[in-house]
Amino acid sequence: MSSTVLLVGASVLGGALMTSASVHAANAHSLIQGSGSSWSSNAINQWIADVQPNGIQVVYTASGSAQGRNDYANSTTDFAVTEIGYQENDELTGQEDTSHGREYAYLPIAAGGTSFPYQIRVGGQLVRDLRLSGLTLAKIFTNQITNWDDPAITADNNGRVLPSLPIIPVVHSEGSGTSAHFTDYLAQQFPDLWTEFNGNPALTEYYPREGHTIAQSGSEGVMNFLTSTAANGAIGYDEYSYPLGKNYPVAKIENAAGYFTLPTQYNVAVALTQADINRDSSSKDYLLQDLAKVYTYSDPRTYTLSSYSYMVIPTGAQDRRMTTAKRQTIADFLYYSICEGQREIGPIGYSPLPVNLVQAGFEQVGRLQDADPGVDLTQRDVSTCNNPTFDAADLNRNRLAEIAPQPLACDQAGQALCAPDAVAPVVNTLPPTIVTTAPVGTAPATTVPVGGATVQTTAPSVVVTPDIPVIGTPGSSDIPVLVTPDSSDLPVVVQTTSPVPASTAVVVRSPVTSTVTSSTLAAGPSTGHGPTPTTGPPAPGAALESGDEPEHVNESASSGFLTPVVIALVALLVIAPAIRIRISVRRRRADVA
Amino acid sequence: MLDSPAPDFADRQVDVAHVADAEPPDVPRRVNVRTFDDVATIVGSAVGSFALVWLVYERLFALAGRLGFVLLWYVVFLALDVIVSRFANPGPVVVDRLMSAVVHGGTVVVGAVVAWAAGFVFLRGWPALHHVNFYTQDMSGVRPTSPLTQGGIKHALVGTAIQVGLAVAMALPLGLGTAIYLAEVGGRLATVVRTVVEAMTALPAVLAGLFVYAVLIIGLGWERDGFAVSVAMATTMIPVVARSSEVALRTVSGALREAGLALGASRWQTVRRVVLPTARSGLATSLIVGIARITGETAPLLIVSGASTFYNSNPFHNPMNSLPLFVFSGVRSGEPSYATRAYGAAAVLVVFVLALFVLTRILSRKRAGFR
Repeated sequence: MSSTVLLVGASVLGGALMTSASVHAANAHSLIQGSGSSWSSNAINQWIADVQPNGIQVVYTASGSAQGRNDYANSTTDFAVTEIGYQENDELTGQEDTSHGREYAYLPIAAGGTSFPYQIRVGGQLVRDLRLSGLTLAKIFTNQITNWDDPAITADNNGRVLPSLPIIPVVHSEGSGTSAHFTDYLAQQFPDLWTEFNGNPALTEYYPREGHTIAQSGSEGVMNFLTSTAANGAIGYDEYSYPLGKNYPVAKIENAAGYFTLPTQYNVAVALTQADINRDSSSKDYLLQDLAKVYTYSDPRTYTLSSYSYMVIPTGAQDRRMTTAKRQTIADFLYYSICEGQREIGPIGYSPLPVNLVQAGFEQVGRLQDADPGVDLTQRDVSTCNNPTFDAADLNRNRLAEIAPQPLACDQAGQALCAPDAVAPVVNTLPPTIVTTAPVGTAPATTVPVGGATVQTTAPSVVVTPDIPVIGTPGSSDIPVLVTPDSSDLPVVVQTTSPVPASTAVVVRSPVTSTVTSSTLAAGPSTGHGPTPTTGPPAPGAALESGDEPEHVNESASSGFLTPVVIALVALLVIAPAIRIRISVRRRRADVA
Repeated sequence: MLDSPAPDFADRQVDVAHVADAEPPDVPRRVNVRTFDDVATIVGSAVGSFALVWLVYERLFALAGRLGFVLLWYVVFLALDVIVSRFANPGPVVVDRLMSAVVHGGTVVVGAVVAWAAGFVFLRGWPALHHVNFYTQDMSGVRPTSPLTQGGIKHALVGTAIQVGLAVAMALPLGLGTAIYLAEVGGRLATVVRTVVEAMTALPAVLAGLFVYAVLIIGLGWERDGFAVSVAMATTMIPVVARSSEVALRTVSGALREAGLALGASRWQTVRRVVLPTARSGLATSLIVGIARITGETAPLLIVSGASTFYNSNPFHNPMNSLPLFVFSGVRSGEPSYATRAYGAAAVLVVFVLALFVLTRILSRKRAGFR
């Protein structure tokens, strides 16, 4: 339920953001196709739905990182999404894993954590507070621990013994970047265990299947199997957005500081402050990640298996598939995704990119213009991205990592288990700031036109009180505003849903920090951007109410339809011969005697 | 012994003319008659077995599972039917009744399975099917949380229609041409061709998709658009059309061909004006069977096509979605609203294929007689 509201809130934000983001409409757009990782496909599909009202059409197929890179190399797609770069040598087949000469550049698009959803039913109820240390996790997935009542698992859970139930490890069957992330962790933290299981000490995208391991295709396939009734005792690995979307429990994993943590956007942001990003712009692995220090980071808030996901974009001037329109589409899509789009992926299970990576990403997008001067990349300023990791005062600080809450005391190894729903509260100690952005389609102006501006505050639980001098109706403050908090403390967007007269003042008061901030909006030409476009996401006000509708979408035909079917079958069996009665008193002929 | 007079058989008057009157009249044996005894036995056995199984299954053993209940009930019903019949009927009647119940039961099972497969899809897809937007909108901009009043299968419907149409346009002339060659021209090469065509009817459609992907898309650099899918579909359809068209052409009597040739027509004129019109309904049937075969093929779509959410009516540019691919990607995603829409799309597909088969049946009835 809460994830539904979060998702709806995210989609509303996305619609609102898209109308206010700087998308240049000078160049035509062309449909672009991409394929690759299912790890980040929830975020990508979210962005695709966001940009669609603005004429940017993207088709994305989540077929796995290996297939994505392969499709890109064969020039059958316009971009690829992958967790690891081209390996030069495919470990499974010994064949080359290169781009076959097609020029490319990497840029990170999303951060997140690889989580471990599980299904353990005790007395018909789902267990929701499992926690595992790294070693136990490694042993489970290398078939050394095969039952949930194993003493190692009991020790991790501070003596809580699970019933005897065989463990079913669920892995990805396709060449998956999620497998690559997980096996990289195993290879670096538990090299002996991993080498013995895999045969060689390197990471792999093709998780070896032995024993009771079940392999399913794609992140969705793994989740579909895990949530099925036949999978009691199963544990798999998927990006956190998948189990979050299905409200399924994930195991808390022990980090190097001895705390069991979840892959929330805060913990992932903390962890990835230790990621080593390749900064050599002449290297072919520019911007790729080295996560060795992430695995050993001793901050108690860290989530160990955090990582970035990358997009592969074509930077060749002679690229066979690329036209100016396609490059423009890729550029605009990326400018939305790594800038504004980062706002909404936090609540759905990812973590927004830090500012330095967004800047590097913008530079990579600039290479599209190097290849084709017809691409229009003006008006791209990273400081205008309403990214929650940005601290407007100091762009080098990662705000999310700073406000990340410390884990609860019960999450420490050796302490009794926390209650399943216990969450560390996020307390924001920064004063609210107001950031205004230019609306769509107009040149930047010194005054911000009404209806297209957003007022942003970083305070939690904001109550917006427009203190507006309305011409003609003095004292009236009855202007509808929309407040969409998407988590306990992330920036809140306040947007007017109907045109407001000139010199409108908007006052923002925060009950937590007791600060009052105000800004003045100047009236400008009506651009019609106040209400969201009709073809786009639903009207903001309506969306929040309709957020409950999807819950009623579930099958109206429950198992109750079985009964009338059975009765109908039985009636057929009984009545069908009766219909053919010729009630007669004819005696049987002697010839049957 | 010789004293007693021998019986005088000559005295016995045998009326030859009326021999037949002494026999009972010839009444045809009715095989399907149902007596009250039959009905009562069946009804009684059904009710009695239900009660018995309910007692044992639910109360005594407290087992769970409706399927087990129904199966056990059926078995006990048969046993009770036999036992009750034996009281008042001779052996053959008992066996007759038993086999009748078994045969009827088998039919019901088969019919129920087919009805279940189609009905289940309708049942699960109904929440999406009864909205008008389901047929008039595509899925662009629709998120997992969007209600069913948004989004639809317009792009998939149009995609299927265009892809099937293009496939038919490519496969029909080739298949028909092959059939005409096999039926009219013949010869040693025809035997080889016929063997190849029959083998190709068993070609898994996924191989057709792989062929298009490897040769055309990667090798020749084609786009992954609707036309590539049509080529894969046509590859699957040609042997089906060729084979059944050849059968249809063979049903045309040779006398007609000879008559045409005897009247001075050339071979092509004979084919065009005599053979093809005569076999028209059979050819229509083979075409429809081919269409029904390729409409539901998902394997080549998975490899060749990309599941786009946008409406696209240009088969030569940009990917096209289609009904089977929509169903696959919707159910696979695990999102309840997507899955419901996918069931709705599957229901539309079932209706479409069912309509095609009904059309086939109607057309094939006119095959009796010429024209």
